[in-house]
This record gives sequence, C-alpha cells and structure tokens, in this order.
Amino acid sequence: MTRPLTALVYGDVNLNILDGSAIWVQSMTEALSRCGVSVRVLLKAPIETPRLVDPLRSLTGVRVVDPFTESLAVGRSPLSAPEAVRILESLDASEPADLVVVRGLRLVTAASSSSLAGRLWTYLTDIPQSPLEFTPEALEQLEAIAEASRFMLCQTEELRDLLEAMVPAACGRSVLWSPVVPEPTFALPTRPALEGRTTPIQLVYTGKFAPLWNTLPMTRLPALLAEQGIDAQLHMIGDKIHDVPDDPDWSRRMREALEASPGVVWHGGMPRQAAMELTAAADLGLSWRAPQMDASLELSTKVLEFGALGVPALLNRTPMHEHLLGEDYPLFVADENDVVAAIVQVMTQPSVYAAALTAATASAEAFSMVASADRLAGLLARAFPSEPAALADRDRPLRVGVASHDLKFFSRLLDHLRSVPGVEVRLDPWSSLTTHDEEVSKDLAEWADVIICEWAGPNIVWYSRHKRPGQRLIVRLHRFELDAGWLSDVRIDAVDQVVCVSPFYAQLTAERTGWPVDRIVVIPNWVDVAQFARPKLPGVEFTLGMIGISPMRKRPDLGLEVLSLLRRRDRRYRLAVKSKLPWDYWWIWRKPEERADTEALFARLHDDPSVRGAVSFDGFGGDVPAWLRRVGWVLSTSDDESFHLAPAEGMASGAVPALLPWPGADTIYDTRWIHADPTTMAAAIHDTVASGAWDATAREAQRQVAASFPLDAVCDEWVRVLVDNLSPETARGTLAR
Amino acid sequence: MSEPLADTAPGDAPDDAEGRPSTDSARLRSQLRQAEARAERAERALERMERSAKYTVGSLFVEAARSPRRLVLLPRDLWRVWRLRKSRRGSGASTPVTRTRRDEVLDLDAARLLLPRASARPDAAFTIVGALNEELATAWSPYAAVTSALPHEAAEIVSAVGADVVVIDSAAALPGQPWSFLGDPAAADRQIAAQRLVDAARERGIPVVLLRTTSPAHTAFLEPLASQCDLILDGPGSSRGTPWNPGIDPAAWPMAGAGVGDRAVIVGTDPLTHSRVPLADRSLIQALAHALHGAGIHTITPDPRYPVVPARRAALASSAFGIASPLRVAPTMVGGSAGSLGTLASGRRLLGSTDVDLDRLLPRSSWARVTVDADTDLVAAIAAARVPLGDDERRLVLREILLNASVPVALDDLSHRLGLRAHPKACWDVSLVLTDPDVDAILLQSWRPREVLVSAPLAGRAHAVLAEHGIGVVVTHGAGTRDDLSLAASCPLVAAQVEITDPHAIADLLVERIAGMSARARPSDAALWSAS
Repeated sequence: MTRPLTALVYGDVNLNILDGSAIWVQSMTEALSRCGVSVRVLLKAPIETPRLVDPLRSLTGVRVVDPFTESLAVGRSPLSAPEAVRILESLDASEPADLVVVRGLRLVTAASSSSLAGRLWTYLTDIPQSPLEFTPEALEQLEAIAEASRFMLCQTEELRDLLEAMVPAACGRSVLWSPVVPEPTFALPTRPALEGRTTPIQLVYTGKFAPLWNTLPMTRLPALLAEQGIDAQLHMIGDKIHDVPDDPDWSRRMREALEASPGVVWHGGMPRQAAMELTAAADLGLSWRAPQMDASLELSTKVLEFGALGVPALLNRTPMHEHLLGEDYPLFVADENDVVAAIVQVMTQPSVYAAALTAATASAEAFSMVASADRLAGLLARAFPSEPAALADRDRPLRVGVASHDLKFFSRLLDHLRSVPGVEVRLDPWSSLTTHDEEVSKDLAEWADVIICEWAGPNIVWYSRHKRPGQRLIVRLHRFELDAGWLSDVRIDAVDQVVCVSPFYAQLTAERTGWPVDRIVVIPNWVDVAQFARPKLPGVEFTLGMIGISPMRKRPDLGLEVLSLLRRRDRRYRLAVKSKLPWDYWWIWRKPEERADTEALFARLHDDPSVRGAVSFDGFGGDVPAWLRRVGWVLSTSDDESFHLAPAEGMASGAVPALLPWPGADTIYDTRWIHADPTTMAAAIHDTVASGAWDATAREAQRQVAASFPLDAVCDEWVRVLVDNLSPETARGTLAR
Repeated sequence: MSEPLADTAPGDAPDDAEGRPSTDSARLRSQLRQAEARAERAERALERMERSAKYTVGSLFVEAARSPRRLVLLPRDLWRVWRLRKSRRGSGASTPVTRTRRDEVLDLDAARLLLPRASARPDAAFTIVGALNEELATAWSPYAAVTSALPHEAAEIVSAVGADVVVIDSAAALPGQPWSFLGDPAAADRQIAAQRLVDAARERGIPVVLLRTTSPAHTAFLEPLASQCDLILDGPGSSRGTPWNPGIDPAAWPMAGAGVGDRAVIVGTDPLTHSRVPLADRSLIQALAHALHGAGIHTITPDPRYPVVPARRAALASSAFGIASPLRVAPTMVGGSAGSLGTLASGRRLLGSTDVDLDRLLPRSSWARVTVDADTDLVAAIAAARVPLGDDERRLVLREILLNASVPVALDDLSHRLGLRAHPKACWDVSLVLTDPDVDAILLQSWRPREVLVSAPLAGRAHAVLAEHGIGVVVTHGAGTRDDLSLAASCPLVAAQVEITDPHAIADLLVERIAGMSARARPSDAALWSAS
C-alpha cells in the first residue's frame, strides 16, 4: 500500500457480552491494526464492562468511538441499524474511510443503500443456512448487499459456496474470513498426565448457554463420570443464558445447573485473556452440540481456541470438523454416552489423548492472528493496489477509456483499473457490436489518454479513425473477429497495441490481417487462483467436468466418449456439466445441424448403458469455483478455442486438465495435459487415478496455472500496456510455465 | 455500465505547490468514483424493481384503468403473476439457477431431450421415482418400477412416469452416486433440484419419503427438505428415529459353494483400515485384525470398480464368511445393513457385534451370526465363523429374510404406511390349493396365502374367517390339473399338496423357488409353480 488506509468497523453486537460476535469485532480490529490500518470502532451499546473495549483501545491506530459519550447517539439505547448507519456516514464524512467493515444483516442491509455502499466489507452469518430457506425477499436483499460490497467476508467455505450459489452478485466478491484465534498473553501451562492422575480431570466450556449448545446436559458430566469412577471438574465460562420461547423454564434450569451441579464451577463472564488462561489449564474442551447444529455453516471459534491453547475438544463429527481435524480425530462424539466413553478412553490410553492433542494444535495454526492478519493484508493489497511505477511520475491521473459492447471478459480487469491509484476510467458502452452513441464516443476520444477497445469490432474501426494525437489506442481481439469483415477497415497505423489472448491467435491475427507483427502482443486471460483454490469434495478423482458445451463445436460428444471409455473400466467415473444447453440459445438452436447433433448426444446419453445415468447437468451460473469442488478433471474437447478458460479454472481449483489438441492449445497449456484423442485421454485419466497419482498431478497443475496466468500478473501487464508497448516476443512460444 | 458524467471536469486536478495533486483532489476523485458506482447500482436496482411482482402488478392496474379491454383481462393477468411468483417461491425459493433455466428456455419441447425413455413396466404393482442410491435401486428394481432420476430431470420424470411414491435416499448423496453432495453447501443446485422434485410430487398428490441411510452429520443439511416429506424413515446407517429396513432381494444372493476358507469379505468400508472408526471400537478392531492375521485369514472388500451388488456377490462367492461393517452398530444407530443381510442370504456366517436390528429382523437365526465384543475369544469366534451354513440353516435364514427383510415385504410396508393401495408383495402372492382347508393352520402360516383354491364351498364360518384376514376363497369345482388350477388362481404363484400343519410350509416353498434351492425333505409332494 502506498498510503495508510483508514477503516470503520461496526458489528451490530453489544461489546458488554462475551460471545462470538463480540470477539469478531475484537479480532477484526486487531487484524486491521496489524496491517497498519487506522481503525475507528463504533460501539453499539454504552459501556457497562470494559473487558472487551479496553483491549481495543490498546491497539495501535485504533480509536473506539463511543457515540453515547461523544454526542453522536440520541439517548442511551443500543444503536438501531439506521442510527448506526447514520453515525457511520457522519464519521465517514469527517474523515473518509477506505473500507467499512460491518457485521449483522439488518445493519448491512441499511448500509447497502447508504453512501458507504461500494466500500463495504460485509460479514454475515445470520442468513439462511440452506438453499431451500431463501425467500425471494431474502435473495433480493442479499443481491443488493453483494452489489454494495467490495468483499463479502465468509466465515467458512460452506457459507461462501452457498452464498455464491444463491446470490450471483456474490460471485467473485466472496472471500474467506475465518475465525481468528488470539495469541495468549501467557505461557501455556504444563498439565499433569491423565494416566494415573489423582486430581480431577478438568473439563472446560466457554460461550453462550443455550439448548442446542448442550450446555444443560454438560452439567451432568461430572456426575456421570463419577459413576465410572472418574473424578471430573467442569468449568463453565460465560454469562449469556438464552431465553427459550418454547421452554420458558429452560433458562432457570440452566442457571440452577450452573450454580448447583456437582463438579461444576461457573465462572460467569470473564475478559477474553482470563478465559483463555483458565481454558489452557483444562485437559479437555467441550464443543459437543445438538445434531441440528451439524448443518451449521459456522465454525466454532471455541474449537480453534481450544486447539491454540493445547486443549483437545470433544465435538460432533461433521464434514467441516473432519476437514479441520482429520477423519481419524479420536474425540468426535455424538451423544452423552460418547462423551463419557471418550473421556474414559483418554484417561486410560495416553496415545489417544496425544493424537487428539496433536490434531487440535495443528488445526489452530492457520487461524492465528498472525496468519489472519497476513490473509487480510492480501485482501487489502488486492482492493487497494499500489500505484504502478509506470505512472509514478505523472502530473495527473492517466485517463483510460474503455469502449465495448460486452465486458464480461473484461470486468475484473476493469475493477482493477478502477482501483489503481493514478488511473481514472470511463466507459463508452456500445449497445451492440455495431451500435453506439457517437457523441459519447467523441467525448471519450477527447478526454482519454488511453483508449481500450474490448473486442476488435466496429469500435476499433471508429476509434482508429478518431484517435487524438498523443493518445494511445489498444484493442483486444478474441477470436470471432478474425472471421468478420470489418478488420480491413481498421486504420492499423493508429493502433498502438493489438492484444491477443494466446500466441496462436496472435500469429493467426498477423497472418490474416497482415498487421505489423511488432504491434501484436499477448496478454493471456487471467485466472483468479485465490478464488478457485477451494477444498475438493470426496471422490472427485472420478468426476470429469465440462464447462460450457454449447455450441456443438465444444464437442461434448467427445467428452461423452471419454466417459464411456472410462466407465467400461471403472463404474465410479461420472461427468458433471455446467452449462446452458443448446436450446437455451436461439442462434444455436435455429441451426438444423446443431439440433441434429444435440439429439444424437442425448440419444447416446439415454441409450448407451456405459454412460446412462452417469452425466449430470448442473445448470449455469457464476458459482464456478464452488462447482469445481466436485470436479477432479476438466475436459477441453473443442474443435477450436481462442483460449478456453475452463481448463485453467479447473487447474486453479485443484483439478487436472485434459485437452484434445485444438489449434493453439499447446501455446497456452503444457503439452502433458494435451492428448491425441479420446482414447488416449481416457487411458491417461484412468492410469493417473488407478496409480494413486491424481492428487500430486492436480497439485502440479495448480502450481502451473498460478505461474502461467495469475490474476495479479495479468493485471500488471494491462497496466503496463497502458503506457508502454509490450514485447512482440509475448506472441511467441507458450504461456505455460 | 455507466455513462461518462456530463459534469466531469476534463481539466487538470488542482495541484499543490510542488505540482502534485492535493489530498482534496484525491478525495474528490474518490467521491466521483463512488458516485459513478452508486449510479450503476441504482440502475441495477431499477432493473430489479421493474422485474419485481410489485411493479408488474402495479403496471397491470394502471393499464386496466386506461383500457376497458385490459380491465377485463386483469384477473387472468393477476393469476399469471401469482402463478409465476408461486413457482419461483415454491416452498423455498426460485433461485437464480432455476430462474435462468426456466426463463431462458425458448424451446420447452427441446428440454424433453433431457428426459430418458420411460423405464415402462405398465404391469408393475408399484412405481417409484426418486433420488436413489444405486444399490437400493438395484435391489428394488425386480419388484417395482423404479426410475432413478438424476437431479436435472427428476421433477419432469415425476410428471412423465406417474409414480406411486417419490423416494429421496440420503445415500444417493454419497460421493459417486447420482445425487452426490446433495445437502452439501457446495452443491446447492442439488438441493434445489430435490426441492423441485418434492414440489412436482406434491403438485400431483404423490407422497414423498425421505429415507435416511447415512450418518446424522450427513443428513443434517437435509432437514429443510425433511420437513416437507410425508414420511421420514431411518434405514441402516442412520440415527435411530423411525427404523425401517428397505430390504434385500433374496434372489440376488444365494450362491453355490462355501468360498475360500482363508478369506473373509468385509461387506462395507473396511473398519480395519478406515479412518472414521469410532474411538470405542478401535481396540476391538485392532484385536480382530490381529486374530485374523493369526488365523491366516485374508480380508477382502468388494471391488469398487463394479456395481455394488455384483461386486459384493463376487467377493462373497470367494469368501468363507463376512465381517460386518461397521463392526459395531452403536445403540443410537440403525443396523441391518444390506451387506450383512446379503452375507447371510449367501449362506455365509456374519461376524460382527450386537445388531439389534438384525436381531429383530432375523430373530430365529441369530446362530448364523458370530457376535464379538471386547471379551470375546476372537480365535474361537473366527473358527466358528468359518463354518458354512448347511442347507437347512440357509433355508431358515432365507425364510426370515423373506418374511422380514425382503424388498417386496419392505415395499408393501411402505405402501401401507403411506395409505396407498399398491401391493408390491403381490409378485409373491400364493394361491393355495387345499382339499381339506384347516383355517387355523392357514392363518398360522408364516407366509399366508392370498387365496385358497377349494373344490367345494367351505363349511360354516371358514369362508368368513378367511375373508376377515384378507384371504380369498375360490371354488374350483373339481379342477384338478395344474393348468386348470392356474386358470382358477388369481395369484402369480400356486401351491399344492402343502403340509399345512407346518407353519412355514408356504414360506419354504417360496424360499426354494426364489433362491433356487433344492427342496427340503417333505412328507408330501408339495409344489409351487407359476400360474402364468
């Protein structure tokens, strides 16, 4: 970052109460502080206990804004969402914030329609937890929130995947912001070994007291263990006892159990570090919850905290916890009996406790404050790129105009250019390939230092004829333009750079147009590896994927042939297709040959026993990174492509690409991924899986794509080409690294 | 995309004394970018508003106020808006995924290319459409018209096939299965497809059953779907809520030979190597592995490259006994897995821990199982497991499977629970030929006939008593040949010369026919033949 950033932080939570939401405010603020960001934290409620606020005040660059003492709030009631937004806006007006980090659905909704929109980093957990629970109103609400957000911070991968599937605007904006485990300010104590222990085994629970958190059954554990001859003490830390509308007496029973159950010590609420110190002295942590919680998209901060403090936890076996701790973590429990049995086991088998401890401490490492601040720094760098060296000596911002009828392949670059210091961007949106408002184009031509024509259509024809002296003109040519007739109308002497996405198409462009080869350069498509790199679901090595199968030149029939060959050897192979279907495009479906080929394809799907029932059509949408979690191989079987991003996205996701040799494929992808025909491709896939080499191969593929066309490098090239000509050598060789 | 703002100053930003842009200029440019972004968002919000039902309805009223013709058509137009909104909302929501598919399909007929040819069995007594695990679909297919639908076609197939019941099997969501990752947040499209399947079934009054056969953690995400199902059943592998066994096909398992003496097949995931073994089971499993090694027993698992049932059969055929997986069925879980039942049906003994569901299903053949726990002499247990079942023992086991754990019986029970009239067990309905009907003996049959064929009307209340128990009486008027009796019978199977005082007479005849076993010694020439 070239300049210090400022942030506003507000969680719609009462910082007088120790719970996960309050801890989030604390940890987010600390992480921002560690990244050198100046932070103003707005309080929701008047301070009754400073145990969570005082640590904030001690952080570098952090100011706690108390609206109740600074005459910003009306009255002393906790801030409502509209009132909080009003105060945030006033704080922003007095000192503009680069980012506004907010939590809480009501608050975020209000902020989305305020002047803070566009700079919001939103953190939501209070959203529907299942696709079936999203109402149209909720979808509209979240869509608006997504569009107002720079980033949507998702606590878990599960939440992110769900959000992207349901809210298209969340795609590309959703990033992980996992719970942060604070570093203890004390030395971790040495606990006596469990085997042969003469003192009680120490159990600990921290957090809220609520039915689904099993806190009432927990209070019975010391008594149950005593029946097994085990002396146990259970420490309960926290002061938030929930009221249960369906069971009005529950809170009273809970309080009584905390106060009177044998072997239970209730410490009430404690400052976080004090709670951690007490936890660290325990042998086992309790995070065992009701089965209904297994579907939660949230990861318990407590579990991570236990691990960081060297305290193995007893918790439910869920896919999320298996991913965190390993399938063979020994302390997964399902019910009270399991808990007692597990505790008996650890008392008698030191190796079990040792294994649990190792897994727990290892799992917490990625959630440390240091690791989290590092991840946050990456997000900040992405949102606030440095001023490029190439623009450093300018006396005013570089004015960049972008003219195009279709920005879907340029949108991410556009976002980047808009965020680069020293660059101003304006658009000339053509309503179609050939239709534009000439006055708008003239204004842009007059204003811009640099014009980028995305797609080499009539836009570049027009701008080549209206270029201002001293102006720079760049065009990006994809593929279909080479077959159109207007390129001969381009005044190429006015064009500084013709950008192609692959060396093959650069050479083809030179051959077809006769344009000077020194102006034809290559900047590849980008892959946002960070967005695509997500954990794979089980069994993916047997799942082939195809993204976009229309029109039929994409040759899904060849993909089907590969599947058929594989399934004759192993029935576990399947094919997942993410695509619209041919009849969804009127310009495709009106062609008799497309219809005939499509009918033949589906006839085989239904009639060929080797593929029947083994192909799923998973729809179409922007949630490709989440979809790729179920795919282990991404196929590219087209007759021809200019770049074909699908294999690259697959590689970024940790899948292995498998391509047929369409013209130019070897100038983009490593030839090891390119196979002569479907038979060879199927054999390679099978051999890789059967030999157990899929995992290592996928990792190599991921490494390659990160080296070949990562987002940040491609963005840097685009910034460079704004002011400098790239080397024509970029149009030769291969992009694969 | 935003228009270039007309009031944007094309000139230079104000400089500070050193010729660099001031902080104020940076702030102004930042504000300008934010204003442009707000304009873009406002445009998108306007688009959304124009697509919303509120706007549409308001527009309809305005048009109706302007035009008498539009006024007349207003109710129809409002109905259409409501239908569209309802279809989008469902009992959850229309999602961007489904909206894209439905709104942009220009050729609905073409979309039928997605549907398979109907697996028509017009004579089938029971038609099931669903999200089914391949093993379950295979087991059920001989006894019902089963269409295992894929996510992208499920709702449409319900319309096309006309099912008696829609079944969602949680095991269909396991990796490698047709609905893999259903319930996983990474596969929201699968849940939406399941919702469409449920909606299609409910629109047609077809009951929906959620069959949970996987762990609670796996099915937790299916709770929103579960709340919409007419019946939730907990099969083997799930948490014990409403235990129910989907049954096995007894015809699929019996095999000749005793297998290889030094081989044992693990009928599921290998607990000896699997990482998900519960803590409480690890000691026993380690001890068992040691004992097997000491006895020279080599364990195998069914080859995953092949469909489950043939793979398991092949593994069993080459093994002396089976080992249950999981080895121990927790008290809170449902047991009686297809692998365990199949092992017993194949004539092999099953080594495993206590399984209350197997006890319940096969109460009189517990001797076919070798139960192990922490105190068991595993060497002796392994030796006992290696002894194959004799013919009579196999028959007994198969009889119990037929009566309590076979697919037709399970599906019949399912039909009954749903209040359906379908009678999947009909394929095994027997017309019993009797010369001297003993009503009590008939009613004591473990497999009751559907009807009795008698040469003359029954005396006294016999006819009425049988009718009360759902057993019909057909007077054959002296029909003597098999052909004549077959013509008289309304059931697919006819039994004659049955020793009716043996309560298992009919059941054993059925077992022998279904499993291809040789007849046991009988005092009479009892026979069971197909009436068709």
